[in-house]
Amino acid sequence: MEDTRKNIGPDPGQLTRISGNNMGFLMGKERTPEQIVEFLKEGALLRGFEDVLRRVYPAEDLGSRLTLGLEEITGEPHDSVARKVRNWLLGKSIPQNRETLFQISFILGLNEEEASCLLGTAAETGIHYRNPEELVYAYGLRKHMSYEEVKALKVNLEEKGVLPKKAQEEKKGKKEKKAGEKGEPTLYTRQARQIFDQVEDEESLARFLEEYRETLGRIHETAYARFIQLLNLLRKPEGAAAQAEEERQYTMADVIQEYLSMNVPEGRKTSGMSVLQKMIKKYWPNESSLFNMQNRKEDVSRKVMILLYLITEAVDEAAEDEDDYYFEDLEEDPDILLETRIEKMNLFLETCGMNLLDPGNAFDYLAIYAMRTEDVGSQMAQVLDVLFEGQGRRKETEENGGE
Amino acid sequence: MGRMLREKGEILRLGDMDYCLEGVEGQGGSAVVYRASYEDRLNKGYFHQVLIKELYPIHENDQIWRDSQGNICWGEEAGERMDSCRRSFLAGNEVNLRLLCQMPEQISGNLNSYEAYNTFYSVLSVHGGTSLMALMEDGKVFPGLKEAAQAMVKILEAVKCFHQEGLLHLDISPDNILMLKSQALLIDYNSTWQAGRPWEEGFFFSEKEGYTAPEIRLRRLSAIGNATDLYSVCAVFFRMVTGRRLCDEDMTGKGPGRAVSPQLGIFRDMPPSALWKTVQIIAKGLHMLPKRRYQSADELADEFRELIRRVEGRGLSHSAVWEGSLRRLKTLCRDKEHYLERQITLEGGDCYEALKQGKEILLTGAGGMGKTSFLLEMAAKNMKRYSPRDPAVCYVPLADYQETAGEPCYIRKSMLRGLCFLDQAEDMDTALHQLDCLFQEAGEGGGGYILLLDGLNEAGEKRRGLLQEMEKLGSMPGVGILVTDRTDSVKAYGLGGFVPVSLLPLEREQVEEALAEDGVSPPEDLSLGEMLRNPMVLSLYRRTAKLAEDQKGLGAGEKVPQNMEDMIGCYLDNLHTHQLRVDSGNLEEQLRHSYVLTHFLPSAAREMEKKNKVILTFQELYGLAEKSYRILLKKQFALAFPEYAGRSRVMLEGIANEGEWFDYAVREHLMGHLDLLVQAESGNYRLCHENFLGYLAEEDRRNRRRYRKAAGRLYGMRIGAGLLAALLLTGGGLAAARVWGPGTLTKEEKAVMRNACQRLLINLQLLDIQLMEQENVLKEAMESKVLDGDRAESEKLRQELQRVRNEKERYQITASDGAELLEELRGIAGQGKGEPFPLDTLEDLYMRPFEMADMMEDVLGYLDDCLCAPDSPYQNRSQREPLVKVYGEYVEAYGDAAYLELNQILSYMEEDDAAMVLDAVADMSVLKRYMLKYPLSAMTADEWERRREAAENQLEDAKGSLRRQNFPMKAPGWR
Repeated sequence: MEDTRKNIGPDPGQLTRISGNNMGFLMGKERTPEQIVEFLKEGALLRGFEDVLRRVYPAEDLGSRLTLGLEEITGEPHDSVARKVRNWLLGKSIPQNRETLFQISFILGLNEEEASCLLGTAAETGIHYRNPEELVYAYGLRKHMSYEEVKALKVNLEEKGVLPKKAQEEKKGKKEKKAGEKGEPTLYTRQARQIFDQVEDEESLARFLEEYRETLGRIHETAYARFIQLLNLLRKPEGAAAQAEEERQYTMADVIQEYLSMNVPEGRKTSGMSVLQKMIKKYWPNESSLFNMQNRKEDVSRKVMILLYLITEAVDEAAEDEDDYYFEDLEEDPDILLETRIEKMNLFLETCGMNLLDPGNAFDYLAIYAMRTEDVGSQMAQVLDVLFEGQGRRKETEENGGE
Repeated sequence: MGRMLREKGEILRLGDMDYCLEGVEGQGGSAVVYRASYEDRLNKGYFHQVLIKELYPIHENDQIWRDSQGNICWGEEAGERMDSCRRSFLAGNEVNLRLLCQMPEQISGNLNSYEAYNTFYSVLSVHGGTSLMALMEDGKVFPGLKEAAQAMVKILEAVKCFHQEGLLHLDISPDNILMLKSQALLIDYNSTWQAGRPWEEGFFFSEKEGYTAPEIRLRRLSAIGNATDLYSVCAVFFRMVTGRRLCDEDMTGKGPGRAVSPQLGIFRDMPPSALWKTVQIIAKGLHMLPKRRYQSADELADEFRELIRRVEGRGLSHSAVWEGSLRRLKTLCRDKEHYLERQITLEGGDCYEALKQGKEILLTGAGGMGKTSFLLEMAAKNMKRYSPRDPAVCYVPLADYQETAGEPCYIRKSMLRGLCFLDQAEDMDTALHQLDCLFQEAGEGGGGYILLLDGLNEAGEKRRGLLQEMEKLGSMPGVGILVTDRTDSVKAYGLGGFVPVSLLPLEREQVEEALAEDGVSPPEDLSLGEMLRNPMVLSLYRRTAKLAEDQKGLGAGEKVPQNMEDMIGCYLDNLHTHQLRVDSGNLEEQLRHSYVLTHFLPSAAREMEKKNKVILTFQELYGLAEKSYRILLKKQFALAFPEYAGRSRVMLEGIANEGEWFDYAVREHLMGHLDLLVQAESGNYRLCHENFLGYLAEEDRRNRRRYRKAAGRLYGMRIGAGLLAALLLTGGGLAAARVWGPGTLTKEEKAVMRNACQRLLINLQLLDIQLMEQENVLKEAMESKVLDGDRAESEKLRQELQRVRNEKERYQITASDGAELLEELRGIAGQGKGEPFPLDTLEDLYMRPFEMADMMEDVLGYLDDCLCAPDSPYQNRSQREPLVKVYGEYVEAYGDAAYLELNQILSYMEEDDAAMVLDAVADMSVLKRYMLKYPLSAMTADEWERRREAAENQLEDAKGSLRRQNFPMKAPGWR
């Protein structure tokens, strides 16, 4: 079937000043993990929430418009809202939930693409085009509605029964049923997005929600499918390694220990950590979050997907064994290899309905750095070990003799 | 509700023309195409066939529909969609008309366009043909690789028309490709875009799974260009080859090239080079980055044309030969050392240029002068990128020729290997013919070929055919040829047209620079300095210096090599020492490595020398490995090379058989770690350099002399006590030291201990030989017809018995009762040092060979009388058999008792030391059997004692049986 999608927004292929600066440090030279961490601490331009705010809303009245708007929406006292906004604009804090981010988007009159970008910076993923509530917000943004108007629309749709009430939907621990469980065709985020693109008025929005009610949900379906696939790869190693392991299946704890911990300290405690360390540690997967993702109790996170991809797929043709007699490798310099890997990862993220890599994001930057080497997974672990000053060492410690 | 299509038979009036609709030809996202006809206005009854395209976008919520009058209508929410589709239709139509004007033969016909029924219509020509989509329904593989490539060439012609006009199609997929007999047409111009024009907000990209380039998916707008269309073309090719659409996993995983398996049906009966080309096209054409893909339709079409050539030419083409050669080159150059520039005595100096002109050159240089490196460097330097205008440079080593018994067409067959199927004789003939045609074409203006034939001196003696082939190839106008040899002596009888050129030594400055690079000062000895201008010597010198540096003080500096042989010897010595250091702490590994380096490798070199060639086949080398495996287990070997005595068991630990030994010695060690053996493409093995051959072969000769000497001693039973002492030095000495406690003995006392242990093992060895000889003779008697009273056999046995008695006398001279040693030991024990050592048992053991010698005298004489004398009272089997049997039992019981006695002594030694003594026993003939009978572990001292008593009882029983058979038992040992 032919599927068309509207082109909106700027060309992400054009590097921004921030990306350009950061990529410039990486290209053309071999950098040690120490140099990278040093650069992230000093020299790198990290795309803060405030940068994105200023980019999507360059006008002078950014602060006052936000303060006023939020005051109106939330009814919170002026001083408290003003302080919050000030902190955001000074890069001292970022909004903690998606609702606030949508509120900001409505206040600033952003379009879908801009709002998505803002969400991606502060909350990992942009607008989730399979989540019914966010679809309504997206529609509101498309139609330049105010936050109040879109709220009213939501109530209206809830009353019509085409939009599940939030309270019901987000009952704690509710497990989302797997797509296709009831025999209905799976609707992946990409497809949902394409069909949704044609929604032009409230009536068609209601029809859309009604028609796809069974298939919409909070989980990124493609991402979930790839997540399970990649996780299984780690849990049941194939090939020669598997024989050595005597078909032992890894537990989730093993997967964390062996692959995903990557020298990031365990536990929730972040006191005493630098902003940079906190930024990286945020949403870092642990055993229970992986379980929840596997059991569809929470959406697969972008960080997990990037890590899984780094460990399992970020290998190139050139790194293959020499027995592949029929394959003539195209010799590439490390920069081209890196560029190729970045685009591969981007395509992977795009398929999963997630934001593309952003060199202005500290975590993404480390992932990009790791991708410049042959052994991507261990390079990532090494640079994180440097970043966390060895405080998160688990597996590596034994192997490297506690270096 | 969906689209409301117009009915079959309906009359559609456009302008002043009535079209009769005959059915729906196809539908897309924004338009429907109908088949229609109209009557010719002059020739009534004749109809024109046309296609009519109607703009009628699909809308999810059916907000675009057709009313009862046939008009297209839309609701407010579909307004934007409709507008955008109208824009695309107009733009596409415009492109179609413009291109049609410029190249009517290559663009699908567009007869007229109308605005009617509230929408747009285009009347299009019918070209016949089939859409590519229909030609490859899901799961269907294209008929053949050649057909697929031909279709791609046609498609690319069509794409080229667009690109020439600065247009991008941006929607190339099977459903938009119409395949006609002689060409392909791209249809649907709705996504076309003028390259370089800024992208407009609201532009609709067509995205089709499996065909749309990543830069569109990721909205890398600035990267969209010709390569974007060419990606889609390659995606179509991917679909043809694999029978499935390209998927995201192909792109994000290991790459589409990996998805092309040689097992795919389309590759059946296809030559390997066609497979390579297919994979190259897919890997490059579907590269993630547009800038790494094909940049023009012509460039890609050339690749498909080359693919067709390879399919038609049974795998051969100029570029396939080039590529095959590059593959080979990559393997050969994998571990190449840094190359130092070389000069040759060729007028003009540029060897490659001369060869490119079709010259024939005979390049000479002494061994180690770097002829091979020179050739490989020349090939590698000139094969960076393929160009049909440049020659394909092929490197062919001649060493394997000697294995082929003068095979005709050797050079050309080497070139063909890996490029085409050569299983059948007819395949080979066809391929050779094809190759000759290529050479011929080269003379007519093609890129040509340069053949680098390396090592005429290594090609063996029967090389008439080879020379003839060279001369023939050399005479071809498009072929430049270079042969290397040590001298130009061949010119006396062959290679008439070849220009002799010599490879000059390295410049002194180059040598100095190379040494400076390693931080090695040039040798003071001037003659050595001169020698270093030979690259091989220089390389060895550098490596030796490096190893010597590792070993600090050992090696190069101490002895100045005077010639190549010295240098090689010095290098190998250092390599050996280096290896020992690497393995330090692991005695077994050290011994294994030493054995491989100083015994096995020299034997391989000697084999080459003997056969007068520089390579060994797998069978030959494997045979040598088997031999070396067996020799290691032999007693003679241990005698000749005492450092290995008693170690074979630990050395071969983890190596189950000859095959594993081969893997260890050849693959892991000589090829893997040391790079001293190399495997040629043909599978044959050669030394890393021919110059090593002489040195190593000489070492093997030395080894053999030693071995023969030791073997002679053993067979003659004249075991020199000194040598045996050396053999047992480690085992015995250490073992005894433990008994009195380390550190408590003086140097002199230690020496006594050492001597005592040596003596023990010498005597045990002797006893073992005695037992073995008797067992053998008894076995012979049992198996022969002697028992049946056969005269001739009896005579033979008599001789044998006599021989054993004589031998016994000869080796008895090495025995000693060790009385003095025992006296000294008693002296040491008297000082109260250490635990009480069972000196009496030791004395008993010392005495056993003496006892046995006397008993043998009694028994062998008696057996001679009973079994061999014509007047013996024992005439038949029933009388004779018990004699042999009971004595056999006695020998068995005697060995058992002796072994258990030895074990009692061992139990006073430390475990490691005891193991060493046991190692020596493990190499004996008879006593080793008892090692298996009594496993060392899991027995307490009490158990050992019980066993010993049991063995003594058994011995007594056996004695009783001997008495009953009237054996004379006069010797003191019987008591």
